[in-house]
Amino acid sequence: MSRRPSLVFLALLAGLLAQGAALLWLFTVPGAPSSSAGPHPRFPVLRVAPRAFEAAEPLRAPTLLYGVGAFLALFALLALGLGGGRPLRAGRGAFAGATLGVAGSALALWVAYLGAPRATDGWAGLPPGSAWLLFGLWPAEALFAWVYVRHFHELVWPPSAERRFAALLAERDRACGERER
Amino acid sequence: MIAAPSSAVPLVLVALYFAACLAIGLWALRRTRDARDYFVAGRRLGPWVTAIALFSSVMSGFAFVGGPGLVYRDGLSSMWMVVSGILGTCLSTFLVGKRLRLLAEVRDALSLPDALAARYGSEAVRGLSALAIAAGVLAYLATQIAAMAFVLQGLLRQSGLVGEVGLELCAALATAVLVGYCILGGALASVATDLMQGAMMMAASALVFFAVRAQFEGGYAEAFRTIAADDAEALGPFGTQGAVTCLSWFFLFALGGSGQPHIVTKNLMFRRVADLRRILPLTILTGTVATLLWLVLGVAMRALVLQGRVEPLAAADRAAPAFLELWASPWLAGIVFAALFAAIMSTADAFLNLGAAALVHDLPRAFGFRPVQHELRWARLATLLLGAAALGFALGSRELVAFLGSFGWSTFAAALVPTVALGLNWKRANATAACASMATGLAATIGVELWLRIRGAELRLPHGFDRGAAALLLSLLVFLAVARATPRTPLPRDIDTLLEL
Repeated sequence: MSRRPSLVFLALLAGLLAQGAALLWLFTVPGAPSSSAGPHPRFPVLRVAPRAFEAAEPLRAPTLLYGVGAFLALFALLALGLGGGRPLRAGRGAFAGATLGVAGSALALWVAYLGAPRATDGWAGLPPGSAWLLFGLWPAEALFAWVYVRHFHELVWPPSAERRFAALLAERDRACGERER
Repeated sequence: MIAAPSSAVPLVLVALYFAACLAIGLWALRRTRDARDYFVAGRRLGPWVTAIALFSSVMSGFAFVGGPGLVYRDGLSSMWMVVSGILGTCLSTFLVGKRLRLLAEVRDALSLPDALAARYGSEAVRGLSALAIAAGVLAYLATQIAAMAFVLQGLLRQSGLVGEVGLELCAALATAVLVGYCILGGALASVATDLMQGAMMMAASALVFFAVRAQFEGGYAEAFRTIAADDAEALGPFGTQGAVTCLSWFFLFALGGSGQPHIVTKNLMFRRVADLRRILPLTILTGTVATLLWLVLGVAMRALVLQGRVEPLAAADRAAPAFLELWASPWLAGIVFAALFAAIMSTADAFLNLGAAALVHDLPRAFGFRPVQHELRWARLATLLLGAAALGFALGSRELVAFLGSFGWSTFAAALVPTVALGLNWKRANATAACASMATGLAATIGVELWLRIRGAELRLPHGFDRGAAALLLSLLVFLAVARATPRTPLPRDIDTLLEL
């Protein structure tokens, strides 16, 4: 990311700007409720959602844009950290697979939720959207850890980097020695 | 309805835990010879210790008490904070782990502001980041001490061994243990106790998982169905707070970890870069086990209340203690209460260490003074003073503690994520961008909070969008815009090489 903005930088910027645009849009959504939860009729400490709040048509598009922007920014930052600002070479396929796994789980959650916002039973007593959240999106994120571990010596700490770092330390020690003399 | 039985077992287990912390402090005392030992544990931690210290620093009392309370009150909304944990750990490791460890070795950095000053070649960056950390230390410590005092007072009352004990005495006792082992052993005592504290949190979480399951004939499915029958949306993926709030939490908590000083500073402490390969999966595994408690206690209490088996709670934060008092055996309650103290103390000790480094090591340099002589001695004194000041705040002004309490995750995220996470991965980043984004982050969190309190006003963003997430978004955009708009700053040769590794 030195002279020309890289793809990762542009993806990060697009993700952040998409979130900003969604936020501004949410400020001006007409007719949608201004707050979500309200007190439970019998137990005031518990909160309940207004009926079909998330099915409210005006909210769907900006919320989806915000979600896409947030995930895009996070994926771009993961790529930035893994590639050190350079395009990923080794492990590119694994990183793309992990991204698809996480993005796919998030999409499945969204579709399951919008398909039946008030569904009560899907898997293990949870509605389908919640089951996707706890048993899909949550463990799928560990795919990125797998990429890191699997490709550690190619992406993160290759022998060439180790050699360059050793040379850097040796140069520093030499300079310190000369200064002390 | 069930009444809470009286038992001294939980108090005895907590007392044993306190004694173990002090014993670890004494063990670490003999191994702490200079400031490097005191601030970064001599940079000789192994992968297991680092991994458990990482997750236990993240798990404060909020995760053990606040988290179940949020699930009890809002359904699954707050699970987005938990679910972001794995991605957040990956992001923090990818963006910060290796670079910070290399920087620590090349420039002998003993603290996060030290590393940032080396990266940006700027004492202003050091000063601003140290100020943010010093203020945050008081905030976290005061709230954690107040939380420990409340829990200890409840335990003493429940034990039936003594009469009513004042909150002041409980706070002083808990602070004495915390400050005691930190003064003795610095970062080494902090991470060694983190190891014990992390193990206790994992054990407590696993035990509670099965204890909750045993309360419902149909297992967790019955608890979920009870909640869904009452309010289907509470059990939906976005709970009662809605998708906008949940997605903003996901963004804030996934990315915010890369700016939390008590988390990223652990990257200055381990032995070799290659250890990161084991640290990441270990942190994820142990952290995920420990966070199960967040979900299961909240779900259990909501279902038990709806089934009429427990009186409705007066406050949502009572969900975890109430379950332990009413439904868990005294031994299990003792283990979980000790784990609760472990969660609080493992975060608080990290902050004490950070605060001492900011006061003794960073702020004098940032203001142009000569480095302090006998840094270790002054660091111990600073730890004592910080502990005393936080105790004073916790007892003296509830209003101040409430204000400082808001100086939490989101403020560190907004103030430090761009400077730390982007700065260590982007050569174009410069000191002007770092200062601008830190100032923006602090103004958008602390500044706005202060202004609202002075005006007696309230600010809610549309549809529950989290203010911290908005502040983080703003500071990121400011950082990118200023770095692009200002001239490129030439980097010293070692930093330039390091950013390419």
